[in-house]
Formats: sequence, C-alpha cells, structure tokens
Amino acid sequence: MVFSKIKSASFNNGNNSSFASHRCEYLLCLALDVGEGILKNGGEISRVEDTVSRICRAYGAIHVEVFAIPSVIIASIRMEDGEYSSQTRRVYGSENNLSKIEAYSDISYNVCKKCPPLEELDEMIRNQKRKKTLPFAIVFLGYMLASGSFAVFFGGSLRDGIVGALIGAVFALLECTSLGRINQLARTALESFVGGMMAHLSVLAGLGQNVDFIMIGTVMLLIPGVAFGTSLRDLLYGDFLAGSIKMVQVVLIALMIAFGYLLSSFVMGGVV
Amino acid sequence: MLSELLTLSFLIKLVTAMLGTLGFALIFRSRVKNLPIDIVGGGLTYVIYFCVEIAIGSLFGAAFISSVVAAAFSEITARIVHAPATAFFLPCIIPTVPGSYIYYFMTYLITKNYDDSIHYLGECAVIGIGIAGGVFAVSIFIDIFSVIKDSVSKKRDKAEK
Repeated sequence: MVFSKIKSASFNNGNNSSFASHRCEYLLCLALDVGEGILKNGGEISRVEDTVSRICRAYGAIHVEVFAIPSVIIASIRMEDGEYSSQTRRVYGSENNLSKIEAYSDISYNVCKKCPPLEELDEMIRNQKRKKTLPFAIVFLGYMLASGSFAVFFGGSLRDGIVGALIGAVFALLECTSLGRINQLARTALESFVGGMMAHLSVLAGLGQNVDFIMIGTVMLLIPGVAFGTSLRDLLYGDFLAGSIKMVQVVLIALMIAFGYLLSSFVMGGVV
Repeated sequence: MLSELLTLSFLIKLVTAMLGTLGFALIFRSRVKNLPIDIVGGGLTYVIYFCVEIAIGSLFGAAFISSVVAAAFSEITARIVHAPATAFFLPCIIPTVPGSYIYYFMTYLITKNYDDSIHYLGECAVIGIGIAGGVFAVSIFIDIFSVIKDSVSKKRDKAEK
C-alpha cells in the first residue's frame, strides 16, 4: 500500500510536519476505504457520507465535507493544526452484500467509539476486504429458492416453481462465470433472454405449466425493484444527483429486461 | 378478513413469500444470524400488504402501509441487534415488489396492447411511490425523534451543570 511507504518514509526522516500532513491524508484515505466498502456493497448514499464524516471527526477533523454519488466519493478534511486533505475515490460497480455493509458499519461504530491507532483501522479494513461472506453454494440455493418461490407466490403450480428454481440456478451460474463481470445491462438482457427461452421451452417439453408465472418468478430476480425504491428515497432525502443516476440505471435495466424477454418471445413466436 | 386469511391459497402465498424472502436474503449475502429475522419480516410485510389491500382496496395504501411496517420493523430490529436497518429492510420489502405488474407491462407492450401496458406501468409506479413514501415517512419520524431526544439530553446536561 502506498501509505505504508509514506508512513515509513515519514518516520525515517523524522520530519514531523510532513508526518502530520501524511497522517491527515492517511486518515481520509482510510475513512474513504470504509465509505467505499459501504457504497460498493449497496449502502445508502446518506450512510456513506455520514460514515466518512463521523470517522474523520472522531480522529480530530474540525471541518469535513463529503459528497457521494453511486460511482464517486469526494471528501475534504481540515485538522485542528491546519493540515488539509482532499481526495476523490472512484467506485466501480456495486452489488447488494448486506454482510459487508454490516461489517463496515461495525468498523465505523467501533472506530468512532474507541479511536484506535490508524494502523489498526487499516488492518481492520484489510481483514474485512479479505473476508469471504456466504459460500457460493448457499447463494446458488438462494437464487433457486427466490425464483421458485415467487413463481408459486404469483399463482404458478409446483411444477412452475421447480422450473423457476432451475432457471434461478442458471442465473446463479451465469453470475459466477466470467459473464458475471460483463456490462450489467448486457448481462441483464442476456439473462432475460435465457430465462424467457427456458420458460418457453420448459412448457413445450411439458415440464412447466404456465409460461407467465415461471417468467414472473424469474423476473423477480432481475427487476431493480429495490433500486427503484432506494432511488426514490434518495430523491426524497434531497440527494437529487444520486437519486437521478440510480433512476436512470433502473429505467435502463428495466428496458434491458423487456428487450431480453421480447427477443425470447420473438424467437419462440407463435409456438406457445 | 379473517376468513380470507385462513384460506389455503393465502397460506401458500405466505409460505412462498417467506421462502422468497429467505432466497433474496441469501442472494444479498445477509448474515446467517439475521436470516430468521428477515424471514419473519418478509412474512409480516406480506400479511400487512394483503390485509390492507383487502380492507381498503388500494394498491398505494397497501404498499405505503406495508412499507411503513417493514421500515419500522427494520429500524427497531436494527437497534436491538446493533446492525444497519438496510440489512433487514431490503429482504423484508421483497414480497411487495410488483413483479407480476412489470411482467404484464412487458407482455402487453410486446403484443402492442398499449392501454393495458400503460395501466400496469402506472400500477408499478404507484407501488414504487408507496414503498418509497413509507420508508421516507419512517425515516422522517426517526429524525424528528432523534432531534427531540438530543435537545432533551442537552437540556438535562445543562441543568446538571
């Protein structure tokens, strides 16, 4: 890490002023690490801004300014001795990982309460980055359970639920392969197309009974319903830029889902 | 209403809503210790949604009130187990997400039945606004409560000094 070099250099040359300046930079960098962890794992914009601000204030910053949108965090701090730091953090991609949000919030809570040395905070963040959450097999089960259950929930039969669960399993496999790392919109269109084709083919093969309910179950995995709610909430909170960006993402994802299913219906046109 | 709650179809919906919530909690990588809370929260949210929809026949009302209940449940649970409310709210709200309306919106769009398509799109928007409004109402209430609590504790500190 760059900061470990900075720290050792500062200690070695014994330049206190330079060291204080680096401490200020180091503090903001770590606070942004925690903020990035929350943002990257689906946390709210207000939580990200609040967390970065609290950590910096706990370590003595007298003036903190934080601005976050879904892809960037910008923050500036000023310490009591006049040292100043301003940094920007670009956040690439995000997913919903509640364990990580909880873990980073725990770090923030403990750090603000106990103010451990920055090196200790650094170690806590590194440990958190290395830590694995639920194993893929469990997440795979989650995809099957969610898709199958909602196919039955919306009126499908048990057979529709089983087909829905199988399609959910395919989605989970797509997520864990290299396809999971491609552009989110392209991936959503591909998954919708695969889901639509599988739903149609399963009914043709006599495995499923109702294309509608199987597809509704699988749509539940893809639709950005929660993202729509959070974007509205951001707008209502006054985070207009973050809310608008999320809303555009939601609309584009919904269009990609429609495109994927439209394509599958077009390919299977008149058959079911 | 009680007779409608005791039907087999409602029980199937309740059980599948709870299983679906569990599925999403796993997809969202919720902590294992939080899974039972997520399941109960998802079930509670769906029961409220179902009851309000039957009682007043309004999708907006059902989405708003169930969202208020889900948000309040998440906030209370979060304070008890010391975790962010989001960790509970996201899985709990899933049973109210209008998956079927979105599907029918797309289906009617594909078949060029634009009137029905717009109708379902409108219903989706109404439910979405209801959910967001519910969360917003609870968070405003908590903000007001926190401000009052802070001012009371400050006054108490001053009086003690």
